[in-house]
Amino acid sequence: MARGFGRRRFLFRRRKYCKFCESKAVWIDHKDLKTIQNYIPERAKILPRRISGNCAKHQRMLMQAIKRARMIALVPFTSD
Amino acid sequence: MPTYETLFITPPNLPEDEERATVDAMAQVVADGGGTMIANDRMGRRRLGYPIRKFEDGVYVRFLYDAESEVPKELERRIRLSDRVLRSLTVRLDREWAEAAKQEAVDEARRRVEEAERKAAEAEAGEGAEAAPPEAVPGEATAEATASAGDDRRDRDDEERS
Repeated sequence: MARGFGRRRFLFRRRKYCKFCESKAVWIDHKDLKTIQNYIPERAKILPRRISGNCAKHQRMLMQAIKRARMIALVPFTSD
Repeated sequence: MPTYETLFITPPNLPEDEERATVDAMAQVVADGGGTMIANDRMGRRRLGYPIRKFEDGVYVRFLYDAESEVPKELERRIRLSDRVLRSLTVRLDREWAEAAKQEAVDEARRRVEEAERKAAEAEAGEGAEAAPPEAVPGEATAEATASAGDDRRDRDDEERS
């Protein structure tokens, strides 16, 4: 039964992948709100890569971009 | 020479001539320091992510320039001293990014020239037939668009919260 459950999970969960690797991103622009906003959920936190599936390298770049965007008030630090 | 990008925000209630004077003064800092301005771009009025000095909106200005490291240093100092700048951010662009940004600036400039030529040609052709060509409308339209976009977002947030 455990195996059956595992297989079901395997069948239904889509494998996550890093969207920035797919587009071969070399940098992430802090002005590019269209991209950045995808990784800022409602509470304005940075979406963890366990959810987004980003690779470590691109998550680091994304984090930097979001923090810069916050400094220049393009995106909020928090929202409630 | 490295490439830098400086973004800064001026208050939304600043009269147009004062805003221009501020931007020109900042651009002069780059020129005086021996830097080359690649793009001096008024990104327009936007809603701020959070209020700064009680302002909910701000006018974003973007400088893209090649310069030695003293220039952004001096520029940031001047920005700090100015009370007409709410916030600023200077970033040194690494090579690939800098090249892409420059290319974009060149394309944008070319597009603008073409647009102006097209408008001039249209004005010439339509002279007499149309008394008042629709000028100053684009600026207004974008301001309205951004304002309503901000409202939309707030509405959506409200729904999600309730």
